[in-house]
Amino acid sequence: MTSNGLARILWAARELRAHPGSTLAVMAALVLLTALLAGGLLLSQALTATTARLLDQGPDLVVRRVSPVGWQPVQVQDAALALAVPGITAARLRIWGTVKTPDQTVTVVAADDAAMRRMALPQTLHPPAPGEAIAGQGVILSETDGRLALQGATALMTRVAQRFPSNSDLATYDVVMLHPRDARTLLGLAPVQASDLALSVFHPEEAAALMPDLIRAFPWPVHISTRLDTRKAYAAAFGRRGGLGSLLYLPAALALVLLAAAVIRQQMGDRARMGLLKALGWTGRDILALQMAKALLVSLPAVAAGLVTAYGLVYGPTQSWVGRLLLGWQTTPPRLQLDAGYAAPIFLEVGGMLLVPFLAAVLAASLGLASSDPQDLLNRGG
Amino acid sequence: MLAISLECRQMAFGYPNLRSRGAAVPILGEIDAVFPGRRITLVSGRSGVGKSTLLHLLAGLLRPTQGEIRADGQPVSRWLTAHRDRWRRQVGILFQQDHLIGHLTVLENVILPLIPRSGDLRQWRTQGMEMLARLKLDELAGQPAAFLSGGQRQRVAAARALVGAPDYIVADEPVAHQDRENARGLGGLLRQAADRGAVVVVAAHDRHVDEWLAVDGHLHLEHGTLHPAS
Repeated sequence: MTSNGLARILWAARELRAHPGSTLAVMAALVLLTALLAGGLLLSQALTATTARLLDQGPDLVVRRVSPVGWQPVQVQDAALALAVPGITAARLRIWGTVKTPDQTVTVVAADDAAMRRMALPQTLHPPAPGEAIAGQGVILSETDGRLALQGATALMTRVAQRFPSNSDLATYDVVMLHPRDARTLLGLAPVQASDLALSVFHPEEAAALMPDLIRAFPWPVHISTRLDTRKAYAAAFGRRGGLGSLLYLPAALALVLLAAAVIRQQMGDRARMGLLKALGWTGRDILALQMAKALLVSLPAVAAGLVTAYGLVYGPTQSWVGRLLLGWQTTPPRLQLDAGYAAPIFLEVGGMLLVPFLAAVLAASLGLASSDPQDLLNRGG
Repeated sequence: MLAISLECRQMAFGYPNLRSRGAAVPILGEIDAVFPGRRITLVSGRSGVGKSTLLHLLAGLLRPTQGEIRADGQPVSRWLTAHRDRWRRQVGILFQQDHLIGHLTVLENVILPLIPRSGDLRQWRTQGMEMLARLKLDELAGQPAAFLSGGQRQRVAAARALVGAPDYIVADEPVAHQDRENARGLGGLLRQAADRGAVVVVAAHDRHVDEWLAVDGHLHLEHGTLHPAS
């Protein structure tokens, strides 16, 4: 940038400083508007992305035994029935279920060494020993000594020896991880029983095609879900919430219109001064450049601050109220992982959505000023 | 080197008649006049006769409703706005009302015409301070213009008109609020501008102009037309 260009920008900043009240009001409105829009979109996108990543790490197919009265446990030997189906490459028994604590409902998962490795958990975590548990950040411990009372098919008192770190994935949020023997006892499973079967297939995209063969392979009724089914279910749930969130656009658009109108009105009030500048040798282009520089000096930092605020609300330590407001989380929510691939388009989209109409409004108003005769502006400006 | 000039050719001007939407209300009739460079031309006339309008036309703030204004032979009044805007950088105008921007400092007001030109803040500041010193206003450079007296404001406006060393200077009642010493100081600056080749047109109805300004030509505006003063 030339020294003259820099000097002109400094001059534009000087002009803004002359009206600190209106400048700060416009900036504050833009910050709020940006934070509101970007925050909602970022949260929705972050949840969708995090869930998708989790599901990608999960099994291709899940088989549950069903009966007229509900879910039934599977037997250890049932894994062999699944492996007999061509295309199935691995079958794993899973022990899990939902149980109650005095304060909430939690998901109990059994984990041994192999399971811990498979789940790619932090290396600081060790498999729980009998009588011990690893609890997620969302699990409320009512006992002061770190003990947790669980009520499933039977009651179990366990000691929370470790907790999932606050930056763990979303999946560990309300999870209590137990030794397999404790989990079976709590869920009412016999030593040869498990909750369901997780299957891996040779071609993940053909998982759905194997379902008829799997149904025939088991001598009892089964419910089979594919990864795609689960992803669709989550996407639909987030979509419903996202739909509600999109209602924010309406007042946001109205706010933007009002903001642009206020800026245009302010510029029109400046007509006499613009007329004076033209009389003193400023060209229409100079006036346009000055007005646009002022608009950019106001809007760029404001939108950037709004995006940073939105980022902080979704990914930072102050995110709890966003989750509570939009998703109904009752406790500190899990920390979401920022995925630049998802966040960057949102930043660009929201930034553009606000900056383009704002700058266009300023440009439109300035064009009228720039093309007028100075005496007209001086007269109409009073 | 030929001197530059401002020239009115069969120029007339009237404001639009907003009531009847009919013909313009005539202010100036067909004016033919030449304002040569290196000379100070005084335009006198009663209040309300159209002196300020004539100066605004010469400075390119208004367009004639008839005829044209030529600057150095070029029909600037017929030029497109963008070209006329650029030409106006060669004009220094001293309004009857000072038109200072109250929230800016004295120095900032003075350097306003320099900003769209080349240069940087330091250069502008140096030029502005030099001009303020010549008008004995350098001590007020950092003061907001809103706090100045009427006479000080007028001198700041004069500094603003002259700071860019313009080729065409139009000054409307430039010493209306000045004491004799300051009036002579300003008259001296206008003379210096004329001596370096500028066209200087001064409008005044003050009969004692010759006490502060040595004019080279005197035109009298009456009934919308210019005549050589007797």
